[in-house]
Amino acid sequence: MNRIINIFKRDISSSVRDFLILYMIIAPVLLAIGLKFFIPSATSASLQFALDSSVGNEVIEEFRRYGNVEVYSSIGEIEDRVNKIDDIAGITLNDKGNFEMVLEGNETHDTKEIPQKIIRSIVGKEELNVGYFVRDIGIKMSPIAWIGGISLIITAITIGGILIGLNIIEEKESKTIMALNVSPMGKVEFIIGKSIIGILIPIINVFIILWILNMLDVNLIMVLIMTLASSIIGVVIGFLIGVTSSNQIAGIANMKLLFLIVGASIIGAILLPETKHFLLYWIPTYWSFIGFKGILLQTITWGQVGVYITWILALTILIFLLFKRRINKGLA
Amino acid sequence: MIKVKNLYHSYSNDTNYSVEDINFEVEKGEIFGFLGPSGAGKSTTQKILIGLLPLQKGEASISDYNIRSPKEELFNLIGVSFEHPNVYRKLSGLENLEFYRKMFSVKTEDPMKLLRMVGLENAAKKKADGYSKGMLQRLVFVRSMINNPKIWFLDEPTSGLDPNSASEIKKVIKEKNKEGATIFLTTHNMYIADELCDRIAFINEGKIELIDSPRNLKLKYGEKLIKVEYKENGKLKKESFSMVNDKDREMLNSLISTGKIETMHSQEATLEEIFIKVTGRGLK
Ligand SMILES: Nc1ncnc2c1ncn2[C@@H]1O[C@H](COP(=O)(O)OP(=O)(O)OP(=O)(O)O)[C@@H](O)[C@H]1O
Ligand SMILES: [Mg+2]
Repeated sequence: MNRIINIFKRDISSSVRDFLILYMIIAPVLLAIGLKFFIPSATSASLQFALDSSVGNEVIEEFRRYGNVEVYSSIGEIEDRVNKIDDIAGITLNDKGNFEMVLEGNETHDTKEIPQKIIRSIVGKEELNVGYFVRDIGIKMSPIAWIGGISLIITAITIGGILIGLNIIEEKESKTIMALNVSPMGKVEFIIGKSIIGILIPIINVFIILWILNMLDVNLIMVLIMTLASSIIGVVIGFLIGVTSSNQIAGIANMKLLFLIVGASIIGAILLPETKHFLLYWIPTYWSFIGFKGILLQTITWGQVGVYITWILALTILIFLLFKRRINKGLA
Repeated sequence: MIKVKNLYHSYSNDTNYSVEDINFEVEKGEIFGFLGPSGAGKSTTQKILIGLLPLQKGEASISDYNIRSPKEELFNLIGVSFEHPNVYRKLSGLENLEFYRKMFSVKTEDPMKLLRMVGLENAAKKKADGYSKGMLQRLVFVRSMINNPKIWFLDEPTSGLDPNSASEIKKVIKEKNKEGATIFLTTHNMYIADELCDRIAFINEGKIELIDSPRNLKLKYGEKLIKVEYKENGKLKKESFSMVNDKDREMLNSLISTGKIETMHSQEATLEEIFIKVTGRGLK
């Protein structure tokens, strides 16, 4: 165990000292920050309400159950807030003590309708259909947001594999692997130690990406499991790149091919009609893509997660078995 | 400690052998030298012994561990200094040693102490990328000592070093040997072999030509020469006389009897001269 952690820690120190590799590690996060500016009011993924404090705590708490609540002390402040670029509904009480909504006029359907429903439920006129409410938010996520988000997630996972590949190439190029091979370290320890970076960095990056894009309100356990499964493909591919490339240049050339295949699975999944998707079944990242799509749009069930992960793992095992001898030989 | 029997190796997996029918045994506490020119098969033999190349044909064991299926304990026992300095360039010298020491499950040496031993203490925190060739060489050398090896494999430990560093390294090798380490040393430097080794194997074109102690080799193959400086007609003259040649001996005798001799040295043949005599080629 000590040896495994030692190998992992060395890979981390070595990676962050290489400008190119360090950039690769943080690139998905930088891209996520960039993407945020292109997502039209990304925060509208969850509803926002600007409430006048005069409505009372009970009402404020009720609204909190359905979205982000900002509390203001005057009608003027609410108007200023509603006038800002994102979608937000203002709610206040008029002179007669009735609820009144403050809107800009260009709000989405939900931003107008849902507060009304909540108000009606508060004043006791109608039962609120919460189930409908949640599904509706999902559909409302803009395509740029979820396509961009998934692309970044898959990029982060792919980069995990590349990190493994580059670190193995470093061992081979500097022949330090020979020094390890004459130490008591076992091959299994080496393989596990070298794999950690390709699993841990993607997991961290995926959660940072979701946080930056304000998408943390999805099923995070599903996210974790999907990321884990997907990064195992990255691990196998990373080892494959590592053992087949004799130096960094050759490694990067091999990675271009990898990105091409990964890119094809994403673009194919977006552009091809559902009936043609079977053409992409052989690419593990296709399953990652539709898995993450379901998770982000909150349309996925645990059953589907299971099916997708089975596909990913089966394909990964297949790739591993095909290249097992090559990998074994390459590490000798 | 090391036993090798009928060892063959071919990089192309055919009968084009890089080492051929190698046989030798290294005793406990011995410094055993593998002396031969470039491409003779020294590193190949060492790599098979430490498990970096597969054992294709023949038998070999180290401290009674069959190297066909090397065990973890074996690697705790041995230390290997590589011919080419294979260290992590993005890590400092100290980090390289700290990383490597954690791979062992036996008591290890203090990295700083080792670095001091070879004059790298000031460069300890510098990235190995900025090390000179000689510094890298010294780093791999001390790295091979980190687990206090009982059996120590040294592949050209002094090549590329300045005379000062080289003599420091030689001193360390002698000390470790005194502490009981068995040492397998490959080199094409006859001075190193002569100075350090208890026994030497001459290896040429993949085959061992002979194995003996430097002293025996010189006695057996070396033509003993006596170098004499003497005065003749007021002029200083120099001459070498062979001790196996009757005419030379007579001349030397007459010089001694006339009392004209200023200086007189006996001179042994060098290992290189013997190597040439045995193999028909030099060490370069
Ligand atoms: N990886 C390899 N693939 C093919 N042939 C090799 C390989 N390594 C060494 N050889 C060949 O094996 C022979 C022995 O090489 P080896 O490295 O053992 O020589 P050496 O005695 O250590 O020489 P040097 O003093 O230059 O280090 C040489 O003919 C060499 O060309
Ligand atoms: Mg060699």
